[in-house]
This record gives sequence, structure tokens and C-alpha cells, in this order.
Amino acid sequence: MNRGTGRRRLALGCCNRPAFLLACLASVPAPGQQGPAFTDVTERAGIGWTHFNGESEDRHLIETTTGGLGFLDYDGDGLLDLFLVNGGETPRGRSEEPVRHALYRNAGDGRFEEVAGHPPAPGPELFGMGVAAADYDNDGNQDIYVTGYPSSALLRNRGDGRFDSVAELAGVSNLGMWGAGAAWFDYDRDGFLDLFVCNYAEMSFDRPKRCSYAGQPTYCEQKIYRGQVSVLHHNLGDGTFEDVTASAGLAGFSGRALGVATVDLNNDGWTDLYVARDGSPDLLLLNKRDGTLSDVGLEADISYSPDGEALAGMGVDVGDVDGDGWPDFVVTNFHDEYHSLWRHSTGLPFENATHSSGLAGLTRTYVGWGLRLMDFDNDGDLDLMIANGHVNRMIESTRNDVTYEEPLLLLANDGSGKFRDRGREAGPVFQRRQVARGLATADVDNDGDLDAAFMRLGAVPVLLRNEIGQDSNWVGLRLQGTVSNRDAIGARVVLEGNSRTLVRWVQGGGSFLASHDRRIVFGLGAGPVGPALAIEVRWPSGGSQRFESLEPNRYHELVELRPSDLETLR
Amino acid sequence: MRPLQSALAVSLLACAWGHGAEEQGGRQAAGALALAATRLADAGDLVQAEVLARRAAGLRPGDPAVLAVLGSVLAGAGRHGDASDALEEAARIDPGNLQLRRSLAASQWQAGRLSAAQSNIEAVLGQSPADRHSLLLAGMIAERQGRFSAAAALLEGSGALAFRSPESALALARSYHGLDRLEDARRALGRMDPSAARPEDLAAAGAAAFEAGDYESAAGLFGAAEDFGHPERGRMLFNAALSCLRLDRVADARSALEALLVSEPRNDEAWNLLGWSLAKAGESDRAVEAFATAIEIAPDNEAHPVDLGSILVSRRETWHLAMEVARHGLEQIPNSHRLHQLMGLAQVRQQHFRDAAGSYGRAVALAPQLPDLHLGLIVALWASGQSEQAIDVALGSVERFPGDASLRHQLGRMYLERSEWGDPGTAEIGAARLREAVSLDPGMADAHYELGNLALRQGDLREALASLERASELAPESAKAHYALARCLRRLGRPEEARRAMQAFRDISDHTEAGRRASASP
Repeated sequence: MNRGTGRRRLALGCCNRPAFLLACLASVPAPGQQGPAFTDVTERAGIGWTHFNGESEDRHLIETTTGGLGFLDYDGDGLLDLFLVNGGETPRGRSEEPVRHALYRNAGDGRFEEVAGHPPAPGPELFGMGVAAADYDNDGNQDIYVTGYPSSALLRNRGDGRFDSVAELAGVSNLGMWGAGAAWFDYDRDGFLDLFVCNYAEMSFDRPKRCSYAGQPTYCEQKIYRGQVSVLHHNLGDGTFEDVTASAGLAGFSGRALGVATVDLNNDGWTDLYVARDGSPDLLLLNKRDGTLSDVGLEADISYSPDGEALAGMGVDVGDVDGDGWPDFVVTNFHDEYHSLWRHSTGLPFENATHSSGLAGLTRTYVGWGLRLMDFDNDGDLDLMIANGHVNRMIESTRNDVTYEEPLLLLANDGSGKFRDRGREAGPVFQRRQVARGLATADVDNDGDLDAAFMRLGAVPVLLRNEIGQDSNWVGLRLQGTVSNRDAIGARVVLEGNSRTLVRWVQGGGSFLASHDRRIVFGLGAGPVGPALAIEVRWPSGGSQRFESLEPNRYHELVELRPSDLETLR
Repeated sequence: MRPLQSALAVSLLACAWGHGAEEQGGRQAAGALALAATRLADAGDLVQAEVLARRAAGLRPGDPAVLAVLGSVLAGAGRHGDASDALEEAARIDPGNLQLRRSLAASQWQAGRLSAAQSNIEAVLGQSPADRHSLLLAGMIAERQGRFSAAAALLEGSGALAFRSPESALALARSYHGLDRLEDARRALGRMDPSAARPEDLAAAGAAAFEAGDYESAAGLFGAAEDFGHPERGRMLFNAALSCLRLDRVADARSALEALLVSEPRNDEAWNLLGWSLAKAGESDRAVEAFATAIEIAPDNEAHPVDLGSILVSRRETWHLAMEVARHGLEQIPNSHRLHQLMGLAQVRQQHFRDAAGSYGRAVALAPQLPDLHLGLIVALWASGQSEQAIDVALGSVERFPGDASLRHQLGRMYLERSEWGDPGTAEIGAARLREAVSLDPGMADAHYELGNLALRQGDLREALASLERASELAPESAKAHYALARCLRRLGRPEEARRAMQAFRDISDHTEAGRRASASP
């Protein structure tokens, strides 16, 4: 293990309390006054783009499962920009305006400006679903993978603010498939990010499946759609990919996959996958370190509900919910199924903590999609934000306790993995009801706390600014791989100090159809911060590095040492 | 006159003349009259025979031989009650006369005085236990009394005599059916010539066979009854069709019903059964037409829309049609709790839970004595999100129907689910209700499953294993039972058994999902 060099490289341009924050100070409550945790800054940010999902009386299921978005710093200015994936037209659901995706550039002063003409539309025939952003060619620029039907698009960032559409050339166009969630990760540790694409189900705009309620068309249940095989593309390092689904042992897993999260589950230094599938058993794909992945979902008990039902897994996120250093998983499901919390500690099976955590009672009446384990108040515990929204407009005529439009949830973790609803005091946005889908997080104002955005079906997305996280102490990290993939996806990061040990992972995927700020923010609480903050990183390549005496309340750039650097040091 | 009774009269008279040689006047006259009456009866003139027999009895009222002649003449006329009275008087005067007693027992059997008949024939058998005619008669009496075990033994004891008459052969077959000795019954029927039997006896044997679940014999017997002129031809054809349907001999059922409908085209029951036959044959559209005809003929008969609805509600793609049928039926019969129940079921299937709660509520108001309706209401309330009301209704229903396991099971399930929402105290209440359900109905697989799953969640693997094994034995088609059992076995370190249980779970799940897709619209 390459550990304990004691060398620390700090960011040249660490972004701390920018002017934007100062501009907004006027809206911050006076000390002692309890303000909202999040405020809706969409309008103020200038985001007016509207999602279009092609809803029609045919009720193609894709109309209600779309709605991805992602944060990425596409121009490398240190500010997280926002990419919004549009749905598309259906044969009888036409748009009055051309359907376009949108890239909003973060101007740094609280405003977001739409970048006209960029990135290029992935193709008019593509009905968009989700997004996964990463630097797949290690050139320092964030590229974008847009999933959809009947193909997906790869937009290679040229580094000059423009993108090339290269999916076909790269071999990742996913033709004929209904792509949904996607995740970049380096499954074979060759230093290049590979791509896992969740494929959902066989569909055809020409032959819609029809269901109705009281004479009104409704979406048919997902189980009448035959699931598809999700695919793994191996990055060959030359800008092209090879479909290794079969050789990796994944060809047999047909099912309606929607969400994927990556993490080193068993702490062996190799990244594993959790795949949330809708009405198909969830998969827990353990990296066998030989180019194959093996599903241990049954052994982990996560494939089905305790009643043997494959739940409606939409989104999935991973993080150490109970502070034991091992990754736990939260999966969003349909109402009455509860959103699941799987607690993991060392071995299998996982503990189903859905009930004991309070999550069952808090989510019973909601249909969940995007979700993030995020320490919104920087107290060191991973809290939970969940975007909900039903699929059936008629639901209120059959249920007393379920609504079509549903609230965004903010659930606070008490540190032991038990959750409490903070929506009531967290701001008006949590009292509103909407039909939400994808949810992404980023520290858009670089103030040390996570902001969020979520997509609403057929409506303007919502950008939320975190108003309270910056009141606690924190330390932020931007990891850069050298031997490893440049985004350091797959790195395990341990913070020691302030009387706590916290573990986080640099993730690919996570949530639903979304991509996130990949920086890690450790919340340190509101009290005084101890002098000896230390970070240990185990890089995706397998090497470890220790960083000592990190200064709190700022971002640090941590760069992986190359073997040659080590030689120099010696 | 039956030969048995005629022979009895002649032999008794011969005996009386023996005595008459030593006595005077009236005895001889009475004997002559009685003999003449016997001859007239044998010639078929029962009216004149009775006149002479009564004159003889008037001359010698205490003469058992003369009374026996009167009794046999009356029996020949089918007046078994009067015959029994005369023979009882004769037997009272001459209690040791076994022949007279057997004749009396036969007459009482014919008159339906079965206890008295049994007593007299047992007296005869006490003196003459191997007498086959007495055994035969005793068997017939016992069969009529529903003492099938005794009947079978007695009729078997009569040997070939039992098969000499179709009546006794059918009695033996009915006894076997009553004892569920279906093969013996079929053998007995095979030795019988149906053409010699009375159609009514064939029909009665058919009913016994049907009752015993021997639909093969029942179909044959009803068919024979119809062939040999049963006066209720339509009923015989209907019963034959019903028996065939139970045997999945759908084509035979249809041909019987079509024959019936030629002669009785407005027989709504026949149209109903034809609907079931067509549905079984997979001819859904024609089945619906047949039921529609039944409904048109007898719009007030709730059975027709209820039956049609129950077929429609069993298939995903026709759930909405079941609702339509219930709606139309309720326009005709608004107070039919069965139609409200059908409506509720169709609504539950389509997840119209709030409407379903309303339908079941109306059904309960109309027939509050039926626990199934309460159960439907509770399920619908719960599914529609009205959990408090569901529990309130369930508590009331459990109190009203304390012996109903299903209601306790549902109440237990609801409490368990509530415990999952953050009310852990209700878990133990739920478990207690489930244990009560299991003690009321040990075959309730779902309750065993719930208890097993709860124990598994609580880490009590021994308890979980026992309950889950029982659940999967009782409901081998239950995917969830196999799944929970597999999880339990894995935790117990029994991987091979766990693998088998998991495979069973997967097989059932895959089959279910394939079925779902197959039944979906394109």
C-alpha cells in the first residue's frame, strides 16, 4: 500500500465564499433566527427552460420515466454548471417548440446562463432520459453521456466550450435500447473510466400498451414490459469502447434497470455496482477482479422485498448512513413499498433497515425517483433528500392517502441511521407538491455545502440553494487521479479528526438519471474544529495516500502520486 | 301384486285352512273369501280383491292369515300405509310368524316407516341370520336410513340377490357412494341393467354419485335416466351436463345442454351452464353471449351476472368487463349483496380501492351476517389508505364473527404493517391475531407465512423455520413463502435446502411475470 507520504497538494484556486454568497447575504436571516434550509433560486438564477415529456393519450411509459439532469464543470472554471435532459415528442404528444436539452453555465454570481447551441442536440429522434458526466478520456474536460430511446449519445468535450457527438464512433450508442441511468467507473482499474448503462424495457412508439382507469388512459404497470439487458462498455483508452457485457457475466441479467450507484462494497479496492431495477430484482454486482462481475443480491437480501416482490427500484444512492465506515444503500420505490435502506457492515446479508430507520413510515405514500445521501447541514451525518411524484394522474380517486403531486423530502439523520422529516422547517419548497424525477447535488456556490436541483415532469426544473450548511464547519476535497482515472471515481476517502472518522466514496452514478458534483464535502459540525484534520485516500488504482493537517472551511485539491513522483521523493 | 306378497298370502292361507278343517262355519267362509281375493289380486283386479279381503277380515277380525291377505292386497295397490296397518295387526296376533314379520318389514319400508321396518327385519334376522331375502330387505332399509356402512354389508350378504333387481343394485351403489367407495360403486353399477331400472331410481343413484363426487357415474346415471324416460328430461340433461363439466368433458356437457335448449330454449339455468362450458372451452365471447341470454331470460336471477362476473374477474384483461356486468346487474337487482360484492372485487382488482370500499360497504349493509363481505370491506378500506377505518371495522367484525380465521388474519396483517410504519408496539398485537387465526384454521398458509416472516425479521430462526415450512407446504404455489424459507435456511447454514427453496421461488415468480406479459395488450 502506498501510504503515508505526508505530502499534501492544495488547490491553486480553491473556491471559498465567493462573491455570489456575499450578494445573497441580504436574504440570510439574522443570527438566532431560524431560516429555511433550502430556498428555491430557480427564477433568480434565470433558469426558465421547460421539460417536455410528450405525454399523450397513448401513455407511453417513457413519458413518465424521463427527467434527468446533471451538474458538471464543463468549462473548467471551478463552478458547477447544469445540464438538463429533455424528454421528447411521442407520436401523439407533440411540442410547439423544438425539443432541446439545455446546458446552463454557472456565471458565479447566482445566475445561470443557457449556452446557446451547446452541447449539440444528441439527435432529434432521441427521447432523452438521463445523464452521466465524467472525463472519460482523461483530458481534463468533463464529457457527457445522455441516455435515451432508441439510442444514447456521448458528447465529447473539446475543451473549448464545444462538444462533439461521438457515440457511434465510440461504440456506445446503445442502439435499439431504452437507456436510463448510467455510471462511469473503472471496473478493471486500467485508469480509464468504463461505462455501465441501465437499460429499461422493450418499447415501441408504434404499438403502445393501453391501460385505463375509469375510462381515462393511464400508464400500464411496468411488469408487462419485457426488461432489457444492461450493458457494460470497456473503455479501450483510445476514445472507443468495447461491449463487454457478455464477458463480464452480465448478459443474463434481463430486467428493467433504472438506477445505478458505484462503490467499493467489500473494501477490496475494486468498484462494485448496485443496480436498481423496476419490478425486476435489484442487482448487487460484485467486482471479481478478473473482468467479471457477479450478482450477490440474493446473498445480500437486497434483490427482493421480504415478501419476495421485486420492488419498483427507480433510483439508488450509496453512503455510510450509520457511520460504521461501510457503504449503505438507499433505493427509491413505489408507494406502499417504502424506499429501502440496506445497511451494510462487513458481510452479507445486509440488514434491511427500512423500518428501523423510520424510512418506511416516512416514504410509504410516495413514489420516489431521484435521491441523495447528503450532509446538508454539515453535521457529519448523511441526510437524505428524495424527489417524489406519482405516475398515475387518477391516483387520488382511488387512494385517500396518495397524491399525484408529491413533496420533496428532506430527512435528517440522527447519526445512527434513523431519519426524521425536516421538511416542515426546511423551507416552503418542501411543502410544495410536484411530479419530480431526477435529483442532482452540487455545491454550486462553492460555499461548502451541497445545493440541489431536481427535474419536474413537463415543467421548469428547480434549483435549491442550501442556506445552512455553510454555518457549520466543513472541508471539501477535489480528487484528481493520475494513475487512476482523472476523476478519481472509485476512490475511498477517510477523514480523521474532530473526534470522528468519516468515510466517503467518489461515486459514479447515484440517484436517478442524474450526475453530481464529484467533490467530497465532509461536514465537521458547528463547534470548534480540532487542529489535526487528516485525510486518507485509497485511489482507484489501489494506492493510498495520506494528507495531514487540512485546513477546514475550504476546498483542497488532492492529486494522486504517480510512481515516478514516489521515486523523486525517495 | 309383488310375487313376494302373493306367495306370502297363499302360504298363510294354506296354513289357515289347515286349522279350518277343525273349526266351524265363519272360518271356512273367511278362508274362501281370502283365497278368492288373492286370486283376484293376482289377476290384477285389486279393487274387487280388496272388497273380498275386507269381507274376510270382517268375518275373522283376529285371524292373522286373513289380515295378511288384506295387507298384501293393499300393498299391491300401493297403499303401503294401510297395508302396514293390517300386517302390524296380524303380527301383533301372531308375533312368532317370521314370514309375516318380513312381509310387514317390507311393507313398512315401502311406507317409509323405516324404524319399525328395521326393528321387524332385525327380529327376523335374529331368528334366521342367513336368510338372503331378509338380508336384502334389511340392506334396503338401512340404505334408505342413510346407514351406508350397514347397508353395504347387508346387501353384500345377500349375494347375487342384490343384483337381481336394479333397485337393490342401485341401493348398494348408493351405499358405496355414501361411503366414498367409488370403485365399488362403479362395479355395482356395472353389474346392473339400467334398462330394467326405474328412471327415478337411476336419477336418485345419479344424485348420490354426484354428491360423492363420482361425476363419471353421475353423468352415466343421469344420462340413462333421461334415455329411459325420466319424466323430468330437462333436469336429467342438466344434471348430466353439470356432471360432465365437473369432469372437464366440456364437449359432452355442451351437447347435453344444446339438446336441452332445443326443447327448452328459455331455460336460463341451461344457458348459464352453457356459459360456464364455453368459458371452460376458452370460447370467451360465446360464453359471454350465453350468460347474456340467461340474464335476458331471467333478469332477476342474480346468479347469472354473478357467475359471468366471477369468470370475468378471474382474468386480468376482463376485469373492467366484470365491473360492467356488476353495474348492469345492480340496475336490475339493486339490493343484491352478491352483485355489490362482485363490483367490489372487480374494483379491487383494478385498484379502484375507494370505490371498492363503497361497494363492499353496501354489500355489508345488505347482508351483515356474511363475514366474507366484512373481509372485503376491510381489505378495500386498507388498500384505499383508510387504515384507521379498516382497523375499526376489522375489530368490530372479529367481535361479531369470533370463529372466523380470515378476519383475524387480516387484522393481524394490518397491525404488522402498521408496525412497519413506525408503530412497533402493534407488531405483537398483530402476531397475536395471526396466532389466533392459525389456531382457528391451521391450514391458513398466509397466516403461517406472516408469523414466519415476522420471526425471521426478529431473528428467531427456529420459530421462523417452523412457520415458513408449514406455509410452503400448505401453499406450494406461494412464491413469497419459498423466498422467506430460502432466506431462513440460508441464515441457518443449510445452503442446499436454501438453494432448492430459492429455485422454487424463482420458478413461480418467472411464471407469474410471463403470465402478466402474455395477458397484456400489445
